[in-house]
Amino acid sequence: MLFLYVKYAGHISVVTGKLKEVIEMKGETVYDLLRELDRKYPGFRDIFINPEDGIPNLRTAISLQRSGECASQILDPKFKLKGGDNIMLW
Amino acid sequence: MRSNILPKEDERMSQKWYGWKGTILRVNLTDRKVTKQELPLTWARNYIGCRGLNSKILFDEVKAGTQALSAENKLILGTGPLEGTPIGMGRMSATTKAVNGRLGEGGLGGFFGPELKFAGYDFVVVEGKSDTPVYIWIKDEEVEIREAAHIWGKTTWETERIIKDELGDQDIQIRSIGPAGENLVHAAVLIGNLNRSGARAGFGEVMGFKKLKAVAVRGSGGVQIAHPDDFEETYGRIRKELDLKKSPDMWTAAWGIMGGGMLARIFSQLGNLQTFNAQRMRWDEHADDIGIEAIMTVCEVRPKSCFCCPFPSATKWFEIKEGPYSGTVGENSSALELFFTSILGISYVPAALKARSLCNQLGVDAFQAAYSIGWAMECYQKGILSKGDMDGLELKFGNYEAMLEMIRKIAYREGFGDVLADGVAKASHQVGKGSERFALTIKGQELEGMPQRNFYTAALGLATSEAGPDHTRWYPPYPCHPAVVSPEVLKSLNVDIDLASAFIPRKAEGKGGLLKWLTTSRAILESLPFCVFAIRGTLGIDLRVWRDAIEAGTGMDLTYEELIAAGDRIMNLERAFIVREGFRREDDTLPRRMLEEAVPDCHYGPLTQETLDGMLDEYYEARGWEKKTAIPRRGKLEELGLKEVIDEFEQLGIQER
Amino acid sequence: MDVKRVYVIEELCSGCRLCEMSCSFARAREYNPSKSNIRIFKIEEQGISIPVMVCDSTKCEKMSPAGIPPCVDVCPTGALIFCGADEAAKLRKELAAKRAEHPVFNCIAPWKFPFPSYTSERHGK
Repeated sequence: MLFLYVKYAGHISVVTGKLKEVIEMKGETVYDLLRELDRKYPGFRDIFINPEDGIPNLRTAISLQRSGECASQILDPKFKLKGGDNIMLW
Repeated sequence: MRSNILPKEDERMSQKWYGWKGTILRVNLTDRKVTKQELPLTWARNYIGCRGLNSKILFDEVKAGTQALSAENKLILGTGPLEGTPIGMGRMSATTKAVNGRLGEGGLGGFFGPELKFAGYDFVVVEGKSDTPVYIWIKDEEVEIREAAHIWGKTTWETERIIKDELGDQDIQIRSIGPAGENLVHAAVLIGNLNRSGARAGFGEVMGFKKLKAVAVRGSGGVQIAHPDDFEETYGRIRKELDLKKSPDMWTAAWGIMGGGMLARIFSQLGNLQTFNAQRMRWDEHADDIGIEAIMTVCEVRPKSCFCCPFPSATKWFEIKEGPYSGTVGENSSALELFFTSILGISYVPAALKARSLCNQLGVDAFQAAYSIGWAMECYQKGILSKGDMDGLELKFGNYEAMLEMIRKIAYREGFGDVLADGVAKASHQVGKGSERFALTIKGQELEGMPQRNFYTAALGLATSEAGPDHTRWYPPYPCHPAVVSPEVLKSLNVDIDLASAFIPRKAEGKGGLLKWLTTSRAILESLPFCVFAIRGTLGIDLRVWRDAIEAGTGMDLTYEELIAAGDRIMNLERAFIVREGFRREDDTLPRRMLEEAVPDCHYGPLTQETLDGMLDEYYEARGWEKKTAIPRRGKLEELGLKEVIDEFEQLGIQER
Repeated sequence: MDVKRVYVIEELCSGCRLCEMSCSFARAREYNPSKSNIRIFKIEEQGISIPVMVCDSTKCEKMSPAGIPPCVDVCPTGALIFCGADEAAKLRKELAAKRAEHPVFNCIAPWKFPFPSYTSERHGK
């Protein structure tokens, strides 16, 4: 199980009704995280990933801030997350 | 290629103007004369309007060495051919020569520009100087210079109320200066619709010097369209690109619904949030307190827009409902309230909102206030300045009461406020003791908030901007996503940028070429006009839709190449303006903090002069400017038909080496 | 029969005047407030913008391609709705409920918000 600090920015904070939360999930990729969030907020995954082809769409952003590193944008849904990762979605 | 883009001979456009109104209004404050000049068709064709055409008038009529604070300097309020329509919206340009010779150009939104078009004018050029306070009142064909002694000294909010009441019309559009402009405070701004502010690059001071308190306008006409069906269709294409759900851009929905204030938390996450006068670039411990999400819960909010804005609420009107600033109202466009938060270490957001409204009422530039006060706070932190030096105020990071008092003092040039009122560049030279290193200015003008050490496109854009730090000249600082426009299409459009590396924030290679495109396209878009904050998706990279908009709106058959050339021409003319005043490559620089200091909590280093030099070399090369001096090359000027610039450079002895 | 007409939700009006421009364009093919059947009255000090119509909004002179009055079609916030009275009442209730859950619905109608929202937990204070 991974514990992730997930933050919602801009209009995405309206989608979830929250600014941030700790997400505990099985799996380790960004795709797994979106699937977990889709469970909590039906329709969430389709906001970030095109249902037709499974690639991140261009209308949203996923930013990772990992301890000891600069923040970076994640473009690959298969990217592997680590426990304690700080992810912002908008 | 050359023959296509040389300016064409003057030609009648079937005797009727579409889009443009075809009239420049000239008001002379010395002899109190008003004249109307027909807009030369060649100017419209070669510079389009608004910012571009303002620059043309400035270059022609305000010669090198003219004192900014003089009767000879001019104030130009400009609109573009598409202004007053849903495509052109309400952006306008205010241009003058700044006190240190910079291009004093700034954009602002609201509703004044469209009203000026409805009254029948594209431009207002104010010349001369009045001995007593006046304001200009334009009502369709009638133009009056009215006495303004009774509103001199009033805030901009009071001014709007008084003018509307005395002229008996609540729909009058007004642009005015506050006490800051009257007191010749550096970077004093033009305010309109209470909370639309702009023209901080020197306009407010010059207006105060000329004793012009306000310009008021009311028009009963409209904007006529050459090919209405095509115009409607083109508008549909633009709106589609900005659809909140489908726009291929990660900022469209976030910006359009939440507004710039959402950047607080996002920037903190990315290491882009200027904190404690940019000593730090993250403020995670307080980012949640200062963003729009927090503002919406501590205030009552309403949506607020400029003329024909396609977004629901990029700006919000607010009223603070409790606490010491209860009752304060204002608007929070473009995250300007952020400047009174992280930069100054203030997490109590009602105080930041109060500061924003205070700046608008007094006509003080929010950026200038924030960076001057931020500098003073750092001086206090480092023991360079004491409470005694600052009128007994404890200007330390986080002290919002002291901040509010200092904003007022700046507007009225009281005590230490008089030192800051000349701008933080001058203040730091006066105080010395190493404080120059963290006086965050470029070409004498305070910064505007974009991160530099983590975003090289922004850094290069700020360093080279002819108006001083002004992000609208290249904003948004990214092209569209590589998946949206193919390399083949880009090639056919002559857009020579490497899309993939444009998105790598700290990769220097390619930023020069990218900036050339960004500045050229924004020069065009700001001349139509179009709001740079709505440039999303492909709108900033595939300009064919704008060419179509111009033809549909005005009937003018500009080709795509001519349109791009117009943007290039505007950039070269603006560069020529500051070259004529003595600006060279050395002035295209960054604050020393950005060049020398790392950002430890974000794991990136300083930008370094070496990196900047590499990017400048690439940019000048792309622009066709001499690398050593940043002077536009003769060949480039010839290509763009700027013979008058070549002649004038020769006369003034400005030569390529 | 529940006749459709334009209902105004004043609190959602941002004052952009797109409605004025689209109406004048539909009627006269130019952008001229005096040729529009809808005008925005403003009380700027209070951030208030009030759409005022002088037309019979049940029979718009020229509908948009979507089959609704152009002013409603172009409004970005959802301040203008074209429906019968029952539908209007329903939408207003929906707006009030959503607004109580999340303050962003002071600035955009739920029917204009592009994604589902699970605002059952009000964040903030």
